[in-house]
Amino acid sequence: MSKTNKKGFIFALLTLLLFTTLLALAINLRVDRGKVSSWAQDMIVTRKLLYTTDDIAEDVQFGLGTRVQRSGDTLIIYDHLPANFSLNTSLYGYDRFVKTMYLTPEMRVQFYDEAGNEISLNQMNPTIIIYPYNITYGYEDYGKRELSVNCQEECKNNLLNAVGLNFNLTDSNFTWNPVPGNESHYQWSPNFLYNGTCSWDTCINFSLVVRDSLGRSYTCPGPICNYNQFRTDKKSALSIQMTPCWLEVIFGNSEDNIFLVRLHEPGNPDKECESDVNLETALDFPSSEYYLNLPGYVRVTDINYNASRVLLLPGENISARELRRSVEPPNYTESECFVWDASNVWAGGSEDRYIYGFRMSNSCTGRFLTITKVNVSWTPNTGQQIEVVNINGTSYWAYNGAGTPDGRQPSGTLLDMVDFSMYPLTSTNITYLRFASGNNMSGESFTIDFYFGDNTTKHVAFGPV
Amino acid sequence: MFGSVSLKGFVISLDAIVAVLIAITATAAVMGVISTSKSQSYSNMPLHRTAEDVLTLMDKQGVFRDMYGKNDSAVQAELESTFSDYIPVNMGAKLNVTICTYTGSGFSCGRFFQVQKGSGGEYRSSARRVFANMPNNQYGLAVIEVWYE
Repeated sequence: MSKTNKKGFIFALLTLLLFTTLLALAINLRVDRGKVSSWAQDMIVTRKLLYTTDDIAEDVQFGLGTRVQRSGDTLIIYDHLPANFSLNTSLYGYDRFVKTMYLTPEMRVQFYDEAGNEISLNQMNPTIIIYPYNITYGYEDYGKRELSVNCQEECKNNLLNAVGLNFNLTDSNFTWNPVPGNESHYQWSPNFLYNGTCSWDTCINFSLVVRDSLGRSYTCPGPICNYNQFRTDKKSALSIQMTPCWLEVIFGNSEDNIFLVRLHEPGNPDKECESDVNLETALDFPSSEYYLNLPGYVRVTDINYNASRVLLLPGENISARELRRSVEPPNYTESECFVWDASNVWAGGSEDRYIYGFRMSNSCTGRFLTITKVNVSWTPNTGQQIEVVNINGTSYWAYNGAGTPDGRQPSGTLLDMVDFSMYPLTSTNITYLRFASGNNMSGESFTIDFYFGDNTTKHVAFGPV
Repeated sequence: MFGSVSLKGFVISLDAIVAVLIAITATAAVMGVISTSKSQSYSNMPLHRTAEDVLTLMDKQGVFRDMYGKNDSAVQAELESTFSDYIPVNMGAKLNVTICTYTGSGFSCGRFFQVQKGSGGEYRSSARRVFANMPNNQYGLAVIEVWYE
């Protein structure tokens, strides 16, 4: 090969090598950018979920018509009895607005009660929960005609130092002058109140001011109420005569009550009465490390990315807290997320061939749970045959429809259902198991093997029903 | 002798032309590969964050809730005078606000506001914010689009 040819060949080879190197570099760069793109998209989705969940949770706290204010260890709740707007309608309206007008098509929102049941927002318990003391501030219903503050455990003064109640009745008046000598117009009965001498660990300090529209006030401690302590384990009830309604305040009772306030017809405690009351409730805690939540959760899901976030609904104007109460290990299986309750299972319906009442839940916060198959067995087995497995009102296996095998099946047959998925922190019922006509299932004991999407299983036994 | 030099020169020139062609082809191929991999999402992250932050700030400052208590012209005037202050200098944005009332059978949406800063960019990111006046069954939706100017 001549020198020129050799040079040309080497030159061409070098060019090819450089070109190949350049192309390889470009391809590598593209792959890296793809990874960054995927990571960036995950970040955007996560951020969008948290943003949306916080946005919704922030509005819900106003749904009860209260305003809260922190002052160190003291929490002051400003309220109005009865409700001066329809809480039921406003919460339902918000629920509908968020679900139909606010969210973009790939987003979904669900509200849950404390037990994990999906609810509409107006089905939430009208209560504020104060953590970590587990003290509730709530109403009998959304009408807000009766307010009570309760402990969820034994009420002792390590949970609450003092209670200050300030009632301003804007369209009510005392029928008497609140000065000494008019004791017949108000009554403490029963009376377990003290003036600094209470020595039990259930003693709570209190102050009470009841002011009518003329500016007259009944105060404790004061000229005609020489008390400043009550016991949470002993009931002390005050009834004050006013017009148009009598005011009733109850401190302590056997139900871990701190206090209860209501208005009733004059002389008739059984009949509620409505009159405007502006309340200030001051709760003095052992420390300022408390926070407020509503009894429910909100979950926002991005359907395209199958990702969701769950937050406790906040009871005050701070960022909602992301649910952390049960952070299952990342390798938790679907069977470990599956929780069941057969305590209310019963046989009934036509010929007692229906089994009702089996309840199941997904207890995990971040995992979906998919039931793919079930194997239902029963004893004594006298040749009965199963026809339908109905979950939440839909048949996921039927002898003549959904799933396989076709036809009525004997005990111990593996039924390949239409997959049933449960979102995190949701509960549902096996609405019924239906057996063939003539099969009386009363008195039977059952075992159900659940098969899940991750190939794990759960064995459940219950009965006799 | 002159002929062989011409041939040599021709070949060298041809060689150079071919090398340039190869270089152009290589560059075009590389640019083509890189440009197809450019991540829209990655460049949209700051836009998306800005969109959310602007709405959050306006909400926390009560800009949206104050709309319930003002008439339409006052709301529009306030938006036009203050909206630009929320948007970074290198960005533009458009804000649409809709206020609806729940009537029991559905929503009646009769109040609309719009304000814009800037003229529009190629890549946009959007965010939404809900705000409520619960006692009066009024609910509002703010939608913002943000772009680089």
